[in-house]
Amino acid sequence: MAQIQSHDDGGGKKVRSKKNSTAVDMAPLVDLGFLLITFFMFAATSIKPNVMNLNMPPKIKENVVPPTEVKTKNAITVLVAKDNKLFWYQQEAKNLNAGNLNETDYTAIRNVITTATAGALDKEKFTVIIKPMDDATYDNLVNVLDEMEITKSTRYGIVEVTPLEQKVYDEKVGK
Amino acid sequence: MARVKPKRRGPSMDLTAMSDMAWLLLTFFILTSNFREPEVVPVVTPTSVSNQKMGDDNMMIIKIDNDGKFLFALDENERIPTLERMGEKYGVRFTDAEKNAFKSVVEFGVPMKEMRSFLNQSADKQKSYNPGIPLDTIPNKNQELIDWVFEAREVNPDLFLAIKGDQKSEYIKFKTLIKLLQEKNMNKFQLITSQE
Repeated sequence: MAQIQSHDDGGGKKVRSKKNSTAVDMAPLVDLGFLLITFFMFAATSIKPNVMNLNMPPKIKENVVPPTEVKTKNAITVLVAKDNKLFWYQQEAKNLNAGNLNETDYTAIRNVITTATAGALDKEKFTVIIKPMDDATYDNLVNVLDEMEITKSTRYGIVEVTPLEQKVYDEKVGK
Repeated sequence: MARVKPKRRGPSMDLTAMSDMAWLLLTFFILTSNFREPEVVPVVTPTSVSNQKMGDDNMMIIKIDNDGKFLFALDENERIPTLERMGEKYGVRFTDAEKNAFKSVVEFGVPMKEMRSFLNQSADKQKSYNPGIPLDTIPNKNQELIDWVFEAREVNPDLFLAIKGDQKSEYIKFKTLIKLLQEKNMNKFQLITSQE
């Protein structure tokens, strides 16, 4: 606290006006200053949104390069459907039917992917194929991409749903 | 002889210098920070574990709101030249006043043919009018949004595209956008998310 010197003249005849020191207590001013600094620094850092990188493959002319076949054990296909539903399969496309299209959800998918990664013949080449359907939401896609980050699956691709998958899916959901 | 006693002093010290420094820092932070411009259309971004922060400049943002409408946002420096290029392409001539009005438009979702009447409105009215920038799925049809992206790139080739989609927006909107951009050989995007 500021020191205010007061002298006691102790019985002088003339009453002199007290000499007040001009020192003002600076402590509250400093407090306020630093409080505002902290506030502004926190406010400034928190407005920057987070971003997630998404790199899509460059467009390839279909008649030049044949689509690369991924071995079934080395890949998992995840169908992102509407109403927050997820389906996955590890089959060759021609063997796909409503029986081996498995339903899962956004909490269980992590386990599915880690199990599939562990069972892959070549873990380096394990690929997750993400196929969002047109009526899925954007949130669904980001959630799946997020799972890729969490499970450290670096090889993944976003591919369009094939008519066969659509048919099997309809069959599965229709049941 | 009386011993000289050291003068008793309280533990106080001069805080003026400290206070000076605190306020100086405060002024510095306020002046250097750039304030966030208010959003015209609120968008709830999906959450993710990513902790990569968005860059400060050289960004253009495409917004997809929950009705699937597209909005476009540019940095202040690129706004006028991009508008001029778009005007040339679509045969719209803008007056200087309209160009200046466009400079203060943070984000917009207006087709080119309504752009002039949009820019002549007051700022409040502009905010409530967002029919969305047209983007047709059929190639070579009305793809204004794609044109905006590439004209902005012509102005500043370092521009990076960020996509800010609403949680509820349908994937097909996003798919259309990505597909059309890929056809023009643009393959890198940043998806804006929020902390989980």
